[in-house]
Amino acid sequence: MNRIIFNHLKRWGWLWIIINVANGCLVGAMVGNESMSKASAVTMFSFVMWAGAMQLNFDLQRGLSRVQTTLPVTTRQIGAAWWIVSVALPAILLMATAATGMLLRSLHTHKEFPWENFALTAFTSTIYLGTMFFSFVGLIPVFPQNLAGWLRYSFSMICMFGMIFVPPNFSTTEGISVMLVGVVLTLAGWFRAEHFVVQRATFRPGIQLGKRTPGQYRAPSGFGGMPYLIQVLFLQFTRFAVIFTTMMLLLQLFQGKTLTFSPKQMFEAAFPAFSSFGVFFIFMTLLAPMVLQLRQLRTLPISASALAIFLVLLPVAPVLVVGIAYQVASGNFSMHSDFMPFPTNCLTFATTLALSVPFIVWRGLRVESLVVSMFLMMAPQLGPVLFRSLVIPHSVITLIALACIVLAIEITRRLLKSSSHAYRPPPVNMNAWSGWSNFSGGR
Amino acid sequence: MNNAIEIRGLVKNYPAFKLGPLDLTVPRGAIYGLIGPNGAGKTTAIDLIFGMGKTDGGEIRVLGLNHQRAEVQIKQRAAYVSPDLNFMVWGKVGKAIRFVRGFYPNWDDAYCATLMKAFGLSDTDKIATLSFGAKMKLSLLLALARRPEILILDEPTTGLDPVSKQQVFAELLKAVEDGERTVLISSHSLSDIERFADHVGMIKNGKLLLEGRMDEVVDRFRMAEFFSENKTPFHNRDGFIVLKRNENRWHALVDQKTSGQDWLQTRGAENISLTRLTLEDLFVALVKEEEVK
Repeated sequence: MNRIIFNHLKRWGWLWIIINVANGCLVGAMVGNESMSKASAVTMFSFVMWAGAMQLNFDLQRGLSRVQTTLPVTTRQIGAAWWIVSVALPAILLMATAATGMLLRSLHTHKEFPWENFALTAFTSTIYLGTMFFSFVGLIPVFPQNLAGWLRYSFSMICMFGMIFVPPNFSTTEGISVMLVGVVLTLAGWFRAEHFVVQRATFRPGIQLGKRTPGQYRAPSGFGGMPYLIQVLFLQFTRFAVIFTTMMLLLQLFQGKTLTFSPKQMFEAAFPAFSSFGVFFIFMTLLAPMVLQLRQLRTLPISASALAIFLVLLPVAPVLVVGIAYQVASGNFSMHSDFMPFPTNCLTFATTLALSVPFIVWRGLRVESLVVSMFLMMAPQLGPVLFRSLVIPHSVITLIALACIVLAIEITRRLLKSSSHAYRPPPVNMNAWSGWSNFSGGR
Repeated sequence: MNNAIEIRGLVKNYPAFKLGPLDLTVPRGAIYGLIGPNGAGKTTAIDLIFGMGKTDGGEIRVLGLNHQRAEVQIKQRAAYVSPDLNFMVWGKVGKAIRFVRGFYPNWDDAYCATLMKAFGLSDTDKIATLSFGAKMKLSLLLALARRPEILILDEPTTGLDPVSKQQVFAELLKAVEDGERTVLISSHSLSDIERFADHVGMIKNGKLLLEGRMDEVVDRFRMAEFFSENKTPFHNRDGFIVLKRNENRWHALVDQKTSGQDWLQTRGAENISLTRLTLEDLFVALVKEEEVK
């Protein structure tokens, strides 16, 4: 078991260092800073997320469970090792770095160490890590085939993302109930870890197949090519956006707000989808499907330039459309994020998405490109807070944003042409049992 | 223009691997087998033909067109099949077909339906749950139904069971029976290549070892079995490669285009018997010799 834990530390140490340094800095900056605290709550959750089960999930996608179950250790030991590296150790490290950040801040400001704040931060990150482990590792990563599967899937998603919107809090009923759910899931993760190992190691996509729908041996009709691709992506994106907005409206209802269904309220509900969760939302719905079939796209009659423009504008366009739609719907710039008008905020966010495209084309959907993208996405959230004394006219921001988008297109074009290495799947994925880049069917 | 693909002095440098300088000629209407051990540079060469990657030297012409300047025109007329292609994001077979179909004005719906039936792929089949072999069949279907002038297949039989392999080759043979289409096939299955291809190119460490018509290449070499009391051992030389020795009994590869056989006799070899080689024997012998070098 120790070897499994040390092996994990050896491979993921670099990410733990980055996450913990960033966590220490952020927590230190948040203490006693009201606006910073507000802007950074989601960011902190992002750190916690990358420190835990997300790493294990990357390994699982590359076939780790099947390798480990052939080793001379029991499944209970493997499960315990998974829980320790995904929950216990990251929690201790995050606590230590958070305490360091707070201590340095207290020394700098000559204030008392914020014990209550520390307790809440430590507790929140621990139960979030536990919830992530239960939901992420315990969830088979294919779309459910039946009602029970859907219920389980929805429950996991609600647990994982719900905690970000209703953070644990010692003083409110919602906060305490979230805490209780978190504690239960964290403990359940420890006891169910062995089961997760068996479930992951024996998983085959073919087994998930329900009744085979009788189909036709007929070429499908209708338009195809890029217009069809755009249509499919648009529908998928819209579906996710509607689900997300509905969830956020329900959350507002849960928090005691009245639903008016006004454009303002709808946009307010949809806004987090275009900011804090850009990494997951836009990645999952728009970019990931493209990167996974990039090799295939390069064999089709589309020039590298056209493909580069398409790839960059793909995540940028919906964000800009939402910004413009908001402006049209509200008729003014009245709805602000904390620091800049909503359309400009959308533009800066679209820019960070555009800049992440070359990374993804270069490195694929590997953890390093996702981490770089995550930091890029945080820029519009934290930038205005960190540099609030710096006043930049919105016209300048717009010009810089447009220049960045053009730059992203050019870099992406060059990357597409320069080497096929970026979009040649790593051989290890051939043996992987699941995940986005799975090639092993095994029916 | 008699050649479908012409590669001259192609060079591609990676930190740990160098392809070329590579010269390769695929005649129009030929079925060309590109063979080589793992990591020889076959997929890199094929990628470069398809504009996936920048060359560091040399030129590639496909159907007389420069592969970089006429990237889109070439891709209109050529098709690529590989287990690396991922169609899973489309969810269902029908959706993947509809997407690819839109790029090709010559797409043959009737032929597509025939292939769907032959390969047992219906429009509602979920791609994620298809077996590895079925995914390869889908990739081949998408390539064949567009009626390409050049078909490039990278390891098309990987993961296929014997029945599926036979099906795939049967469809390929049907597709090229008019003699106008060119097929470049890279594979480790040498018996299939020997049976199916009429031209062959052997590549190792990024360099072409030999190239030519299949019958000529296979006929050119012979396995020589002989005895020798001579205490001086036989060494590799031009056109003569020692394969194994068991006391006085020797096995060697002899290139009939060179004077290797005459040289054997002058060195006191007795009871020389020459047998025809299979492509696989030839491949193993040449690759081993290259490794010794």
